[in-house]
Amino acid sequence: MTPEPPEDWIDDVSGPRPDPEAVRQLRRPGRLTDPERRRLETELALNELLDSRRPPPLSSNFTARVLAEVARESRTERSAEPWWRRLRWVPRLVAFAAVAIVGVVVWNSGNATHRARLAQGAMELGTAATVPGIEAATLADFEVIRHIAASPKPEDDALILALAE
Amino acid sequence: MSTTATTDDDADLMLQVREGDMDAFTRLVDRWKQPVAHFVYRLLPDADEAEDIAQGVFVQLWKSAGRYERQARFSTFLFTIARNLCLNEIRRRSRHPAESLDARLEPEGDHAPHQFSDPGQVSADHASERAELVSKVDEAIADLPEKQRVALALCREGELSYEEIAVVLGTTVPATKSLIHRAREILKLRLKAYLASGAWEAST
Repeated sequence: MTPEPPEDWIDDVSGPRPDPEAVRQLRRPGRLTDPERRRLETELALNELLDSRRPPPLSSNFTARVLAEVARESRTERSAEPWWRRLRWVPRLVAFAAVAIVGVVVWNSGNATHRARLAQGAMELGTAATVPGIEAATLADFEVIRHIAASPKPEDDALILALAE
Repeated sequence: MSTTATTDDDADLMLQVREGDMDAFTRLVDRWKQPVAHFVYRLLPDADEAEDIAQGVFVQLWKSAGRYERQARFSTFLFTIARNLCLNEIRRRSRHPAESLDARLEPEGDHAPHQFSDPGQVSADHASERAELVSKVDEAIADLPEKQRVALALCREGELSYEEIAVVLGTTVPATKSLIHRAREILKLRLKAYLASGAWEAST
């Protein structure tokens, strides 16, 4: 049994790039009714008529002419450009410089904070070193140092005095 | 040429063109010059002018490369430029009718074809008959509404799908099909006698 033609066969035949095989199928006996077949042949005839209007071949130097025109237009555009538009790199440079400056300032400030912390640590270490009875080995242990109070507690002083006697 | 098969290549080349690559641009011109020239010729059937406008299409393509995004199919991007340039030219001509194609065609009040009604006479002078036939077809196409004309040209020459034509025309697929259908109905009516006689076959 011959399959029914698709409903949109006219769109296929009259549209872009009709498939020759689909056309051949449509032309098979019994596939289309007489009015449909006449319609098909008219659509195909119109395709051929439209496609018979072929333009003469392009000049052999077509591409070269396009490239020359592009080069000419680019030159014209550059020369017609106002001087201030040629400085369009300046805002980019300014933006880059601003970002760089901010970066340096942030880094510097972080660095200063770090140095201040180190100084503070050294100072605390010096204070701890003055506390009698603390050995150098103890000072090497940072955790211990961290837990030692900055100044000796009264009971510690009393204990130290008692031991001294 | 298969548009679909080259789409990715063309998009890649166009991205290189955007970076100022002249070799990529040259390859695109070589690949697409024929379809573009044919499309332009269908809308403005003067070989020299069609070539000049096709050249303008590629110059405009170079200038517009910065706006190209990969999401856009290269063919629709290119034919949108071609369509715009052709429509500008058609509108310019309508403002200056002395320069238009219509002025070059023989003015004829009666559009009913008669020279090819008898197929026996067709072989008499193929060249002049073909010129006559072509001018009749050109005339019928030139009389179509602008959108129908562009849709038909894209359909016959641009090697674009209905979907791509719809993108170039800035409309929907059903509207595109309707434009093409209406254009063809008008042409079938205007060229009825030629279609029945097969005159284009005899004169080619």
